[in-house]
Amino acid sequence: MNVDAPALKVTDLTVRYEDADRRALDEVSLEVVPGEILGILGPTGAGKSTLLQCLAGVIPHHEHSAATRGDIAIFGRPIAEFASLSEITETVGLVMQDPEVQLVNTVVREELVWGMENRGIPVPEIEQRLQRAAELFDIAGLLDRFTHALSGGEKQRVVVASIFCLSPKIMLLDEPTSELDPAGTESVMDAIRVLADEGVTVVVVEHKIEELAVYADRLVAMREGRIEAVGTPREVLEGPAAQDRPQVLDIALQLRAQGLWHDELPLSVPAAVTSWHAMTTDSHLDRTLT
Amino acid sequence: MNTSDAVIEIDNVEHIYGGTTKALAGVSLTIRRGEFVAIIGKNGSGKTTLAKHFNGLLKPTNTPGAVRLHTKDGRTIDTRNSRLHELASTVGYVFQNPDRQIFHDTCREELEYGPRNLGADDEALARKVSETLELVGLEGREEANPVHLSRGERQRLAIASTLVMGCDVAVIDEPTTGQDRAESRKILDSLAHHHARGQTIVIISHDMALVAEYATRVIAMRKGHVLTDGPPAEVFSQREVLQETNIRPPQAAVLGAELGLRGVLTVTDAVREMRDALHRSPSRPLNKVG
Repeated sequence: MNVDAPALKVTDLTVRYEDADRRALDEVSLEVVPGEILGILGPTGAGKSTLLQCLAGVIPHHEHSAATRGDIAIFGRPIAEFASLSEITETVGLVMQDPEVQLVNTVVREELVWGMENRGIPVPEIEQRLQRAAELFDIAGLLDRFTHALSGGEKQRVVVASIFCLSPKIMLLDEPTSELDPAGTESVMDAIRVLADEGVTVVVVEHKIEELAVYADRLVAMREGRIEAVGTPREVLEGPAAQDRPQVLDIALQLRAQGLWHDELPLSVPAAVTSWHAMTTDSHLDRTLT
Repeated sequence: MNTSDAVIEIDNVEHIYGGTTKALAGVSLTIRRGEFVAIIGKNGSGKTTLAKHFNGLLKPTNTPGAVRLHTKDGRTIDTRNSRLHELASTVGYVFQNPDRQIFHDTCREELEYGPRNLGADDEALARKVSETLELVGLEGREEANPVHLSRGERQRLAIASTLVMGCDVAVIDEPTTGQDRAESRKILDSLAHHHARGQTIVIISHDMALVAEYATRVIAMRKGHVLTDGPPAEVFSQREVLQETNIRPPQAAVLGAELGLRGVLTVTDAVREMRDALHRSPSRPLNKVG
């Protein structure tokens, strides 16, 4: 593993599913920097989940009905050189869209420990990771619950925690908060931020644009198998490739179009309030209204 | 309140799961014909448990608790001692995970199943199936296999299979989970279309922006109780109350409140009020307005 290389480097990746009328991914190229949170946006059918499955090696190792072309390198090592899917999973953890697909044990604690035991991790370390996972993802109270009796949001937190327990250098998350309420979403995003600050690389597909705008370091906007824009959240969300924007940004853009917003475009409510107060001082008003 | 408009009456309902977990702690409320109700609240607040009482999927666990439905032909039925088909033809329920209820190989068969059980005749049914598919944006997909649809499309198929029944009330648990903005709008627009034609709609949702825009009444739940209940503008203005259950009003509403602007619920409201504020007070800092 070359730690100076990009965590993930995708070159001209093309995927077509059997019987599909178009390519799921069409010449996609992308670099993911170690330790960043990269958010992937795009409407249904943009190729977001397909991209994550390729990055995790699920395509082509497990899903054979897709024809692929192009290259992926994980920390500089071509994915084709990995002997198996399980070797890839030592570096890359994937949280799939539907948590139920990934829950295999009956009790939450077993679910978290299972993967670590399979890896032969020493018991004291298993204990440590379990405790950290419980703390980070706020599931200490769920450890002895049956997995089938959890709510959708609880299942999602357990699945993300179980992948965290394997301590992957790269975490790929496919809509990890779709069934969580705002507080739950924020706590998962906070945990992801903590992990990224510790050097874990995170690629997250998410429709919750208001959270992504604040938590992601960079965003990728996809559409119909192609990447339409890559950049900071402000660059991407301000541009035409964004299908959805935080409401405050929408408001500011509309006011700017009417010549009424001169400050930096906001990505959060506090930023919008600060800008508004700055703009509504007399000097700004003179410029605005004369 | 005009009681003759009542369609679902929830009277002092408690629900305790497994003898220990109190999911509903004495709820009384009335759903009236023609309402578009959104039930909001954090995970585990009792939203789904409440909604499942609306058509007898769950029954009150306390003896005085009762759920009564007022049918179109003027009868009042108690969900405790009614026939399933009677309940199902009054209140339709769409589950959070569409894959739990889709079981046919084509969209057409999926939609025909319910009405056929109630004795619908073939020709009228075929027309109705096509109409309903069109309403949810799945026009021409009659013969498609649901497994080939995207998650969002399957969600719309599940909603269509309830709407096609022509129930008095359609209850939809999280209609937009995991959907992109365009798709979410498509779903809410199709519900709004049915609502405009007199359909009573109840949704459970975490998407406050859509709730603010589409619902005529918002019921906020907390720990098995109704925390607050009223028109969206009224409910979302009670920020301290909502804080207790981690609900965040839409960004536009929060921004409006922070800037002291009245009646802001949506992006359109915010742009209008902010523009007016700028024009109204050209000579002094606007943060002192209001």
